[in-house]
Amino acid sequence: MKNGLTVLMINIICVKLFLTFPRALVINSGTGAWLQMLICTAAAYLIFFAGMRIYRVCGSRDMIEVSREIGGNALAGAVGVVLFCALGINTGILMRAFPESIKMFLLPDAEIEQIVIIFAAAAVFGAYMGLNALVNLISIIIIPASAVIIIFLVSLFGECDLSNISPVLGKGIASILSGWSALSVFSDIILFTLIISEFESAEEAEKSGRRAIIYSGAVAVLITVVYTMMYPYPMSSEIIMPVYKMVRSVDVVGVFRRAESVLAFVWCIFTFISAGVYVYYMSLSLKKGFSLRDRKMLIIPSAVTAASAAVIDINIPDRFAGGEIPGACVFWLSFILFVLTAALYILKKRAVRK
Amino acid sequence: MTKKLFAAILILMMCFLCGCKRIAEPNDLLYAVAVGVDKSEKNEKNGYSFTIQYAKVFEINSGAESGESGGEIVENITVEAPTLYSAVDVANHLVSKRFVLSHLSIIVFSEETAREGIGEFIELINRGREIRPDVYIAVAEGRSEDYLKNIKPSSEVNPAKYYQLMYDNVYSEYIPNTTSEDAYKSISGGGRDIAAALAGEPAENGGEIIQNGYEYGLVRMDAENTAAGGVMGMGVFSGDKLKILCTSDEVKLYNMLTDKFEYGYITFYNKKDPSMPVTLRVEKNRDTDYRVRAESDGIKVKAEVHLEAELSGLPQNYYGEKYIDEYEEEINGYLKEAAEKFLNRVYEEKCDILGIKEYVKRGFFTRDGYDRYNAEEKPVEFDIDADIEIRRVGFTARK
Repeated sequence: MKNGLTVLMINIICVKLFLTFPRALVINSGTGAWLQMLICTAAAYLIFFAGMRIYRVCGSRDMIEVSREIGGNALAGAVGVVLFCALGINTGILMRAFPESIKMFLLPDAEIEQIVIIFAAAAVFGAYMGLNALVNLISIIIIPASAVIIIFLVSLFGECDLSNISPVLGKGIASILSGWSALSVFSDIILFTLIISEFESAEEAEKSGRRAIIYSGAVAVLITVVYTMMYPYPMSSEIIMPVYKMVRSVDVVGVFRRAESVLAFVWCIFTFISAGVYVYYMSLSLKKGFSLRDRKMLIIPSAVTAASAAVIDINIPDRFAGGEIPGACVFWLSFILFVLTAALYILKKRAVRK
Repeated sequence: MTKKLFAAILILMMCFLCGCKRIAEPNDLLYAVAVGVDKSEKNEKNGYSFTIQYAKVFEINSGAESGESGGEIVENITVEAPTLYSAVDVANHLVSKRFVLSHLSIIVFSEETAREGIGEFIELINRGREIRPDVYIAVAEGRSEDYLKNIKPSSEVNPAKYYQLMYDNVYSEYIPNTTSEDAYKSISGGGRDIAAALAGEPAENGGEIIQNGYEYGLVRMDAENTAAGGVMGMGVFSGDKLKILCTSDEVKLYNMLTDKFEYGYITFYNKKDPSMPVTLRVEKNRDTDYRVRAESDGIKVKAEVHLEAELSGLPQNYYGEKYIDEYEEEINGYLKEAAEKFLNRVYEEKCDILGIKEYVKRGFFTRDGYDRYNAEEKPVEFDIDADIEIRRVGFTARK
């Protein structure tokens, strides 16, 4: 189960890599985008490591259970709502990005509301099936899907030009170090506030999270390097769906072309699973927070809440630009929650001892 | 039980998701294989005249069945419009079927259009999803409509295959292989400038290099070959504007310098007897070595081209095997002179076809530093060395 959860986390983090990533990095750092991603991966690893180390005092209980012990039902309810909103932000971004992206490159003639409804229905179905079913599904799919992605990236090495990644520092060290919005890639770490209870110990949960960050960070850096080497700056800052654009150039032995349809298929599977996990945990956060009997009754309302973000009428450039900022805030929120919960728990323990 | 019922209902619903509201069977579509862009002669306000060449599927089918090839397998339709998609919209009302651009193989620009700039067309191709990024770009001396209407493939049944073999041939030393994505990288990304294949009538003698011994005689196409829609030579761009037209021999030099040269037959003079040309089968030995120094007064480029060759054609009484070393030195001299003249001619027009700016960028740590250097305005000096090794003499050797 713990390996399955690690793979699940890798899946959820990597879903975002196939959307507008790494355009925001290139806009911020120019040809130094790969360096920015490397630094952000290292920073996310260290921050997660620190947060989980501090949280170890609470054992392998999830944040809501710990909050209940600290401040009773009121605090547990408040934390449940905070987690619901934080998870809702990530789910809302996904619910908005997926239909728009699908309409752009896969189903241009489809009504966007139809895609949103189908996507929300799939998320509801996944949440109903439960975490075990989703973990089993991703464990089967991850190897062929990863192989496909890696084959695509490797086949693009011939299109890469070392000159495109020069100058190596891009817009300068200051730009690279100020690119904290790249942490939005790891905003799914917020799930660890609830997923931790699936592990036998806090150490296992910490190891799983660190591995997920390393693997998905490695994929992110690889995608950034290949992308920056394929397209010269400033052209690389203009492409809205970088990975899709890259895969359009795949041409293996002059026979295997038009590979973007395979990418779309793999990405859809990853996205449906991620959405199912998010809706599952949104319903679980409310159930645990308010000590409700049944989680399943909350699934549809959770999905509808997140999906309503998808139908807000804003234009695409604004929508793409806005996604990174809330995502990065969610990442910092997860760290703050870990530290705050652990601190309050320690204080509560001391007060009880006295 | 409820779970299984729910799953069964969802699976059943999936069967109806694809729908048939906007079905488009292949028989209802026309597949455009080539587009020509000319300046509009009839109406300057409408901007351009687009010639859309599409495959006549029924002719292809009947041609394949009867064992015939070529003939009337393509049809052309010319439309006046401001943009390509507007032209397609108009064309859709002139024929019964709907045009599809996803199988487009080539876009040909007339020389006049290319000199004004092709940036808006390249932008259109790369912004949309229908046209593939591997569509080839070509320039026609004269009107692209004439080139497309003269296409009569004599050895192909499928027109898309015809263009693929003509333009996608790594052994075609007389044309560069440039796609719309290469053009977009050049125009939007400030990368190396592109050289597009020259379709139709070949360029006039591009310079003195032809007479100075690099190639014996002048490679020209006669009128009959031109009418069949041949492709030789290239048009070199600076940004999105065509600047100069080059001959097929200059294309060969370009391919050698950009490491796209695989192999080819080249005929050289020999000083011992200028009336007896020597033909060599030349192939790339390894990639060209470049050393680029960005100095304050200009950019100094030193390059060494590595080739190996095999004696292919010798005059009857000429014992070329005796003078191999000497002849190698002679050929290195010809190649050096020809390459430097070609590059000086091209770089005078600010066409950075070798991507020298890209090499200069590697010497800077930040974008600001590179921008301050202002490589665009710096003069470029070339020192090209050729290193050809005649390793083989074919199946015969004379003593």
